[in-house]
Amino acid sequence: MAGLSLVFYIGLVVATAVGIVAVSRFLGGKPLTAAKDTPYECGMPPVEMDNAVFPVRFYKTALLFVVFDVEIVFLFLWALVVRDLGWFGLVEIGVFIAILMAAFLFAWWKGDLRWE
Amino acid sequence: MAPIFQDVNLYCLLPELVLLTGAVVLLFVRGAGRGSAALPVAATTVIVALAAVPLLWGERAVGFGGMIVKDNGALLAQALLLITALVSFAAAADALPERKNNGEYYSLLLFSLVGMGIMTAAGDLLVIFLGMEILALSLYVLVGFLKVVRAGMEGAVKYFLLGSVASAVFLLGLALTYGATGSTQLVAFTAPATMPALLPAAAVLLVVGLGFKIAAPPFHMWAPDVYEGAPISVATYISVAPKIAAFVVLLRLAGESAGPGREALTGAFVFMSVAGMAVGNLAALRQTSLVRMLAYSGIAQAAYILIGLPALSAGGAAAVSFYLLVYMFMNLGAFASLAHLSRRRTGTLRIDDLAGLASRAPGHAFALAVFMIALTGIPPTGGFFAKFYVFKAGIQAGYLGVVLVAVVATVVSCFYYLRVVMVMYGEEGGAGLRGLPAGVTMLGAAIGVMVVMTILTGILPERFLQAASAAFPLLAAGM
Repeated sequence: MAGLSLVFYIGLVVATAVGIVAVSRFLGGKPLTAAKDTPYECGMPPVEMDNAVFPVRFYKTALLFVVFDVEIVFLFLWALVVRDLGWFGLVEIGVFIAILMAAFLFAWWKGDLRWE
Repeated sequence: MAPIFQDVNLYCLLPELVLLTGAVVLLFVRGAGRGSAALPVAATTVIVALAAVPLLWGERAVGFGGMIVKDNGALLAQALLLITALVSFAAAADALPERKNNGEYYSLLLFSLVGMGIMTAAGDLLVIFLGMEILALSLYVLVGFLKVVRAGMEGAVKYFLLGSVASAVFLLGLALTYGATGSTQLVAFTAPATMPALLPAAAVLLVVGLGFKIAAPPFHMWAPDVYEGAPISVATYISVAPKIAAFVVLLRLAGESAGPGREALTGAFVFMSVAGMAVGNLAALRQTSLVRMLAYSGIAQAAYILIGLPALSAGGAAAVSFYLLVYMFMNLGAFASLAHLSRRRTGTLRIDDLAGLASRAPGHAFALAVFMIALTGIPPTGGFFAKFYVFKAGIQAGYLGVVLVAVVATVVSCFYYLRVVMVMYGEEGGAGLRGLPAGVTMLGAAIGVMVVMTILTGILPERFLQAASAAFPLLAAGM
């Protein structure tokens, strides 16, 4: 029985893949525009000069987000065992957050949060 | 609640905590140039951390469920690393631009010291990896610290790409070790493995991943480009510090291995050693740039040290740690001399530029000559005994072939090391060196100390060897 359901599954996958292409070809027609020649019709151009300028501020913001991301990962684990750890755990997580905040404050102080 | 460590022992991480505090403070130190507080704060932090080493000496402080073992070997390595950092500080005062905020530079350097402290004291492969990454991430940035230097950026990208591959290789080795033994602890290498077939592959991958840090083949290609592109103070640091840390980890790995893992480990050491001697010495022959010559010489030196690792039963651990000590003095000295000569210069310093240095700066030419003679391995410098002990251990453990290759390689190396001496003393009229600093500088004093220590290790080698073997008592006791 398991083999039969696998055959059905593969059949469905192939039918869906072929079906979507067939339906779009059947209904869509073929308007030839420049955008049709690019791999993706929206988003960033896939091919650029190697010395192109790209806005670094998005990356800086995303990197700073990681600080809080890591913080929350550890805070959840700490929260699970907070009663067992007691005061010691509270102080330790305080030190941990202080070190993370130092990194964040450094970035702030360097002006990486300014949106020029 | 089993996973919570009952022995959170912050005492065993005392030097690291000092360095970490200093590094965080340094992030916020403002001001540039001579008036900056960055260098004094960084130097004070390193000296305080150095003062913590004798405090912990002989205690074998263990913490975090055996994940951190601050034994004498780790402390010896830490002392060497901190001294290396101090010398690189002396070089950095000249090498870094006046108007740039240098707090970040020293902060990153202290972070890398934290990483190496963790690496050398780790009793668990995962903790070793953690230390390696703290070290690597700081060094990637330090290599490209001067953003305007194009060669520096090139070196940084090469270092980063190769370093990430090496990290991945090490991680794969770690995963296979876990698959073979069900544990990531270093001591698990001696335990009977549940899947012994995986152990040889695991051991080789771990060693190759670590080989990146000592610039051993197959991950040696970064060294010349990084040393040439990085600020000279960073090159000074990278050519010594990560090698010391990685060799201590390799010593521990070699000491804990047994059975099929051990044979594979020995094979990997022998291969890396012979390949490193061949590549390093032959490539160094053709260099015209002094720093690239020293980079290839560093590859060859690491290859000589590797001979001691499979020979642990014949006192290899003491020989290796003695070699590391001497290597620190002579290589730091050579790079510090280079930093002293090339300060405020643009472009690389060619060997021909040194012509006539003996008549213009006799003291300085003498120092560089001592380091070159030591790197060749000629008595009465420490370099001779360093090679002698390692080769002796290799022969006693039955690696005569490797030692023969090493002896031939040493003869070849005479050519490029002694050519520097010949150019300095034999030729006249080098155009490249103008305006050498007069009087006593911090860097000059550091070079002087290195000269004295290089010669002292050659006059009293037994003293230093005994101290080195006392640092690794378990390994020296014979496996």
